Amino acid sequence: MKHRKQESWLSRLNRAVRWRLPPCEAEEILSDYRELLSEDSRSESELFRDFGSPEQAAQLLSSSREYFRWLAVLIVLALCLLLPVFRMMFSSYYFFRDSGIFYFIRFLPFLTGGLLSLHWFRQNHDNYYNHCDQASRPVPRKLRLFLLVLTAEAILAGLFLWQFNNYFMLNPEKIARISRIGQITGWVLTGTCILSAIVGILALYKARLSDRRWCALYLWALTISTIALYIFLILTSMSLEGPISTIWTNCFLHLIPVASLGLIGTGVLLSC
Amino acid sequence: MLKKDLIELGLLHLISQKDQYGYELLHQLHTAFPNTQESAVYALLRGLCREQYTESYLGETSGGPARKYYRMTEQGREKYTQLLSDWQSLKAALAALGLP
Repeated sequence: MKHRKQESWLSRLNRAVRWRLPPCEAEEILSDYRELLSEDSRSESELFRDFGSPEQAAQLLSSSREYFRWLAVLIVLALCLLLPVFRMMFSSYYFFRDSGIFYFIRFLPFLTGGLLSLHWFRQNHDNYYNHCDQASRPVPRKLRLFLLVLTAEAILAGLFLWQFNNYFMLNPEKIARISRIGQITGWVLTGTCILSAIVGILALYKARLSDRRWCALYLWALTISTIALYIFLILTSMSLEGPISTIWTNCFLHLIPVASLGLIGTGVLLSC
Repeated sequence: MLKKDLIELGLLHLISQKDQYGYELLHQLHTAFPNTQESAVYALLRGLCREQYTESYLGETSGGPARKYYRMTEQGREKYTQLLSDWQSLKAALAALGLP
């Protein structure tokens, strides 16, 4: 019973130190605490009296500066995922410019989130993962499952929109239904973006607490939400120039680099 | 001199006498400073290791799993001398005020 009580204190400490400290340091501290607690069998109330709460113990061990740096990175990464959602939820029709600085600004959250996640988790890899290399372990099953589910959802949403679009193109007499079609398309794209944001934020949490390769899921979610936002922006644009087929061709041409960068980044984060 | 310095002095003093393992150190310090939580003492012990005043190694035990022992470094010896001298000055200053 006492052993089980210690386990519950240790599991809280596990979460607290992994959240506040780099992985290898956290691993070392947990191993020290396991050794300390194995020397006697204190009850949970004795542990709280002698060691304080696990969160306090973790706070004592972490540098505030480093911890706030991690929180700042987390906020920026989360915002990169949430901005497309806000953009979709509070959007109205607008005049679409797809060149120069406008093109760059549209992909700014994707570039910021992608580069920052690669830098942060790779940097941690170089600095802290030397003694507890997670890459030698197989990719977690849940992570593979989430990647698969998110990809399947994005493909299904894409196919659904494609079919919708074709239906409209092949049946011009249904033009009266265009507002309904637009509404459903908006819901599908916003839904994809919201799902990506939820999964991406969960992935960041898991990347910090258990295995940094979960960050690959974050980058993949960010890629999908960026693509969804781009399509949404085209559909809500009031300045359609040229025939619709040209717009979609340009759209695909612009999205290919995004999808490629997202895939490469995801692969890099999964393998490093 | 802060309480933190006194605990560090205590830790360095214990380690200067012989290499000791974590539980042993924490237990003695907790007995000497009962109002200080052991997690705070452990944080100071880790701090000493990070500042390279002490270093750790895995020591053999008879039967049980290997324990992490702490030993003092050359820098640690200097730190110990400095803290000890601070403590003695403080004691002398208080004695001059008539404190028993």
